Formats: sequence, C-alpha cells, structure tokens
Amino acid sequence: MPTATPPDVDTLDLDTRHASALTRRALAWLVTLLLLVATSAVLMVLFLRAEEVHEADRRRTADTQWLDQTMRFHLRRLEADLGVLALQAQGSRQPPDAAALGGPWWQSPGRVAFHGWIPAATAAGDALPARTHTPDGVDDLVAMLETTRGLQRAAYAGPLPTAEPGQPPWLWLAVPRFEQGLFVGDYVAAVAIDRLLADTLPDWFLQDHRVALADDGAMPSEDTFVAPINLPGAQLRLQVQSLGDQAPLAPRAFFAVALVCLAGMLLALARLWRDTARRQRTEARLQTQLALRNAMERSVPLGLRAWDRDGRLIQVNQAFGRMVGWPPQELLRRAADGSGPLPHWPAEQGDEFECMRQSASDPDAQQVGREWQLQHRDGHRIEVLAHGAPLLLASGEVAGWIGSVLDITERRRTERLAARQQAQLEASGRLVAVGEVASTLAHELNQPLGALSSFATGLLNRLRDQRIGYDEIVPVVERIERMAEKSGRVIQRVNAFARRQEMSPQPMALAPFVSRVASDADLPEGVQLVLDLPPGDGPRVPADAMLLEHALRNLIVNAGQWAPLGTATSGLPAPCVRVELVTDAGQVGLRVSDTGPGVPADQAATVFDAFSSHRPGGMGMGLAICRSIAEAHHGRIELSRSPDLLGAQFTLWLPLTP
Amino acid sequence: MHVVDDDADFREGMVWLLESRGLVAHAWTGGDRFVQALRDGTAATACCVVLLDIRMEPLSGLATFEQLKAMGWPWPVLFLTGHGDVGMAVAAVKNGAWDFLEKPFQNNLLVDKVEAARKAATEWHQNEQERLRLQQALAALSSREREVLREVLQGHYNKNIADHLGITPRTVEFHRANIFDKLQVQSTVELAHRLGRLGLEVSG
Repeated sequence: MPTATPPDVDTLDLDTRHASALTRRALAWLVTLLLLVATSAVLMVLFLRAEEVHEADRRRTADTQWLDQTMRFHLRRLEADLGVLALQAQGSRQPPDAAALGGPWWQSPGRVAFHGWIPAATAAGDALPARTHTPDGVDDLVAMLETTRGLQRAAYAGPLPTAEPGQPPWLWLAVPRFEQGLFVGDYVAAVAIDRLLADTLPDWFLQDHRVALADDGAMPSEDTFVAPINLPGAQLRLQVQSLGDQAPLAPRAFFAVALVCLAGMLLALARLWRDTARRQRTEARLQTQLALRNAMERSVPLGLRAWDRDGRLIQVNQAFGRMVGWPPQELLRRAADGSGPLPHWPAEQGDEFECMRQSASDPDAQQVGREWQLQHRDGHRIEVLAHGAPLLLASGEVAGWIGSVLDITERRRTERLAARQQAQLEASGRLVAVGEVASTLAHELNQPLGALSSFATGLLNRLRDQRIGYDEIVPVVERIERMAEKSGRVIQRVNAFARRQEMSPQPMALAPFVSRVASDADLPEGVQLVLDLPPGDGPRVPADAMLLEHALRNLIVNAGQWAPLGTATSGLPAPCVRVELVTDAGQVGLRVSDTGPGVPADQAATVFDAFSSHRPGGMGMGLAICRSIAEAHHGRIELSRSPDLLGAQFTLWLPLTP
Repeated sequence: MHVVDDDADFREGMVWLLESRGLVAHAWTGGDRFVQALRDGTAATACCVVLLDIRMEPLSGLATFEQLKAMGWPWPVLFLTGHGDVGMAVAAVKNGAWDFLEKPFQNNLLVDKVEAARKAATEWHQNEQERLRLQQALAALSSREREVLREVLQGHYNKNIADHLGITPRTVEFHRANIFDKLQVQSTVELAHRLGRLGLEVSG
C-alpha cells in the first residue's frame, strides 16, 4: 500500500533553546498546579476531619438529649403509675395491685425492682426491706422522702447500691401523696439501673450503643461520652459507648479516590519530568550534532543539494551557491516556482534530477563520480565531479536524493596544462632526438659523400685538362666505388633501425575507438568537438591500435589548431572539429573536418611531405606520419574541402578486408 | 696548402682535388701532428692556406686554430664544417679565421675559395712587406727631411716650403731629391699614393 503522505524531508529548523524554554515553563506551571492540588488535598483532609468531629459532637448532643428525654418520659410515666399506686395504697392495707395498672413498667415482672408505700411518719430505714439498701444509702433515701414532702412532688435518689452484692445499683423514686393538703405518705419504687436501661431504650439504639452507668473515674474517650440525666434529687450519669465505626464512608471514599488520582498524577508528573529531562538532554545532543553537521557542511568546499522524491530541490548549501554564483535561497525559490530549469544547469545535459538519479543508481558512478558542467551566473562553465546517493529512511524507503559536486575546473585546467606541457616536452624531446639523428646521419654521410665528391671532381678536373693516364684513373674510380658502397651501408643501417618496430594489427571496433581518441585529444580553448559516429561498435577493421590512434590524434590536433583561424571569414558561429565514420565500397573512413581556412590549392600536393609544415612552429612531420600509417594499413589518406564546415577535410580510408 | 682532417678518404680526396687544380697540398692526419710539424720546422711555412676540419679527434679544429694563433700563424685558415657545426664555424671566423665551408660543398667552388684566400693572403703579405720597408725608410729620414716631406705632401711648392722653413728653395730641392731616393719613389704623387694605400703617416 503506498503511503499517502510522503516523508517529511524538509530541513529541520531545530530551535531547541526555545523548545526547552517552553517545556520548562510548562513544567513550572504543572508543578505549581500540583502544589495547589496538594494544598487543597491537605486542606480538604483538615476540613473533613473538623467536619467529622463537628458531626460527632452534634450527634452526641442529640443522643444525650434524646436519652434524657426518653428516660424522663419513661420515668414520668412511672411517676404517674406510682401516683395511682399511692392512692390505692393509702386506701387499703393491702399492697396495691400493680399489675392491674398495665403499661410498660408492669407488663413483665422485675422491671420495677421494688415498690412500696411508706406512710408519713415512718422512718425510711424501717419501712424498706433491708435487702434493698445499704446503711449508707439510708440518708439519701431519707433526703429523697423529705424532698417529696417539702416540694410536694416526686423526687429521686440514687443510684444506690443494694445490700446484695453483685447486684446493679438501683434508682429510687418517691411520689408523695397529699390528702387535702396533708402529707400522707410516699409511694417508693426502685428500678435496677441495668433493667432501666435495657427496658426503656429501644433496640435500634442499643444495637449501636452500649449504655452503662458512668464510672466517676472513667476517662472520656473518642467513642465514649457521658450523658447526664437530671432528675429531681438525683443525677444519673450514663456512659454511652458507640459501637462500630460510624464515620461516613462516602466522603472518605471520594477523598481516597481523589488521593489516588493525585498520587497517580504525581507519578505521571515525575515520569514526565524525567522524560522531559531526557528529551532535553537528547535535544542538546541533537543540537550539538546539528551544529557539528552544519559546521562540517560549511567547512567543506563541496556543493551539496537535496531533492525530494518528486525531484523538487529542497536544500542547497552555501558552497554550492558560491560555486555557481547564485544564492541558495534564490535557487530554492526558483525551484519552488517550478519555472523551467535552474540557471546553473546547462540545458544540453538533460534533466538535472534525472542525471543525478542515474549516477546515484549506477554503482560505478557512485564510486568515481560523474563529470558534468555547471554554469556560473556570469556565464562561464564550471567542470564538476558529481556524486549522488539516495536518502534512505530506516524502512528502506527512498525519501529523496542527495547530490554533491566538487569543482574540478582548476584541476582539469592544471591537468590539461600539465598534459600540454608534457606533450610539448615530448614533442621537443622528439625534436631534439630527430635533430640528433639528423645531425649524426648528416655527419656519417657527409664524410664518404664529401670524399667521393672530391675524388670525382678531382678526376674530372684532370680529365678535362687531359693530364691523367688510364692507369691513374682505375684506382681512383675503384676508390669512388668503395666510398659509394660505404654511404649505402650507412643508409642500410638507418633503415634497419627505423624498421625495428613492427606493427601488429588486431581486429578492433572503430566507433568506441574513435570516440575515445577524439575525447582524449587536446583541443585549444573554445574549439568544439562534434562526434558523428554510428551506434554500437561500428565497423571492425584489423589495425594497429597505437599507430592508428597516433594518426587520428594527429589529424584531430591538426584540425583543432586550424579550426579557430577560419571562422572569422566563414561566418560559422564557433570553431569546431567534426570527427565521423564514413563507409564506402569495401572501405571505412575516419573523417576529420574543421572550420579552418582549408588547404590552399598550391599546397595540397605537398601537404603530406615531410618537413613541409605551413603552420608557424610546425615541424611538418604530422601529416607525413599519418600518411605512412595509412599506407602501412594498406589504406590511404585523402584531403578535400569540407562542404559545410568549409575547412580542410582529411579522410583516412582503411580497407574493410585487407 | 695544408689539409688537416682525421678521415683518410676525405683527406686524400681533398688533396686529389686540390692537386687536380695545380695546387700543392700536404695532408695531415690531425691538428696535433700539424702543429708539431710547424714547431719542428718540417712543414712549409711559406704562404699557404690551411684547411681544418672542425670535428677531429683528439685535437679539434678550433683547438688547433687557437694553437696556430698563439704561434702567430700569419696565413688564412679555412674551416670545413658538417651539419650542426655552423655556429662554431661562425664563432671561429669572428675569432680571426678566414672563412668556413659547409659540407657538402661544390668542390671546384671550394678550390676557388681556397685560391682566392691564397691570393688575398699573398697580396696582403706583399703589402705587409712593402709597408715594412717604407716604414723603415721613413724612419731613416732626418728631421729636416721629414719636415720637408710633410710640406711636400700638403702640396706646397718648393718656394713656399722654403719660406715656411726659412731655407732656400734650392736646399728644398736637394732634400726632396734625397727623400725620393731613400723612399724609392719617382714622384710626389706615387709617394702619396703608396703612403695612403699602406695607411702610413709621416710622424714627428
């Protein structure tokens, strides 16, 4: 499935300082927020705590009041019952039938531990059975009875311990009976405290609370409180203990959840903090790396460019801009506009991106690079060595292409200069060698020829004067013959030396050969080379590659030297040398034409002769050697005038079947 | 004639050629031998032209020429040069050699040149001898005769000369006759011509 969005290969604008500052500020805000939340949590805890205490207090007060009222209600009911019983007891000697009264107090026996009538003027200690009280409690009882009489209303005493050990104390109650304003007696009842509490308090209350008579020494604790119940003449102090945790669960649960969330946030924040620190470290390293890369990129004289997958130029470095004289921004802007080819790329080289991509795909070109030309802003050409490489993502996908160019104009110029100097050196070396050979040869031949000539002239002089006899002539002529032979031997030696190198013809393909030789040939500045060759290998002929190369190069160099001299008159735009392969019946021709002035008709006959150069400084050997080489290959060399270039046209004809 | 060359064929051919034109030639196989023979007095030192090959072993033509100059050799020296030696030959000519001949040469032209050189040298030699003689004669004149000679050469008449020198014209005539006799001339015109040709002046 093709990815819809191409990978982003635009230049990374990494402003890490800004980014990290942003992160730090965000983190500071986050920490502040978190502190706020933590403070709120603590305040919440405190508030909840206070609220709970307040709630407990409120409930305790309510419980106390409720207890008080409940007890009072029940005891008032008992007071009313006792008032009825007192009326009955006053009237008869029999103890009143309490059960007949009905009501809660009397439904089950034992609720009221003791009740009885104490008529006026009876001592309390006497009237009450001994088991019901301890001697110490008599005073309280008496005080109770007196209070009833004095205040004409019910009074309480206790709780007082009974005489029987192990029994709970009793609460005493006395209700006076007045008859026409006169006190007649008290009806006294006692209720065991535990029964009182058990019977009067409802079950729902007792499920949650344990109620007991308060100890004086008992310390009030968290879940225990003392509820005082004020009765006339006595104070009942009840200790109420809450059973079970009755604190409200929901707020605590909510709070716990909030705490968990908070803790989670803290943890996340800590991780975020660590992550941010790590990211900042990475960013710093990335920034260093980026600075390093930038410095490296700036320091190299290599021109670097990057394209995306579609061939859009997305990056140009400064070195490239300096190389071609265009600011990188300008090139990028033009590339973005898409307005035709970029100004630094000569159009005849084809599409720049395609060239680069081909060279990047070709392993050979990746190794040694490709040579191209770039156009500087001021118009001159720059020769560059270019390398290309695909921009591969980790997934192996090609995200774009990188191309580097190295300016080799100077190197090429130096190489050309060196090659030219070398050629000149070799030429002058050859010249010196030829001069030396010629000088030696001249001396070697001069001696015998000069002597021979002297003898001949001397003989002739004598013959003319008729001063010589036949006997004298013979030895002189013999001597002349010997010297002629001696001269002949010198010539034979020279010939033997010249023929020492035999030629070795091998079948060879002409088109690549001509292409290579023509490209290597050293043409003067400004002379253009035009190749017109058949595709592929072209015709094959048996030839000595070295000799044929020498001949062809001689022709091309010769044409290159003449080419610039003719364009002024011929009206052609630029001096050029054309090299082509022509075929005729049974022969193939290497044809070199130029835009020069051509060979004048009077020189056409001698142009191939040795030592007949018409060029200043020429030795006049080049074309002679060409002809010798052509003849050595059983071919010939032909001179004519180029019909279109108007200059000289040399054709080296080679037979296809020797 | 002296022909100095280390190549036997060439040397002998040259002698054969010169002799065919009636010149007497001696052949020498090397410069050292020739110089040695001159020193020993075994070689003819009369008016003769020397043909020197410029390229010889062990003593080259130029070195031989230097030695000849050192010996005060008065006669013309011609160099024979091969290809490439022309520069050396030109330098030798500037240094006092008579001429040079480049091989290969037209043989009879060479002989012509040699003869011309010989003739010129002979003339020069004769001039030298005459000049020497005239110089000696001039030196033998008395001071009064020299005074008279100067006046005569300036074209004055005897009468004027007598006035200038404060002597009688007859005395002047006497001196004039003596001068002509000593210098072996017949007339004032011949005397002036000979002095002018030899580049001599009357000193003192």
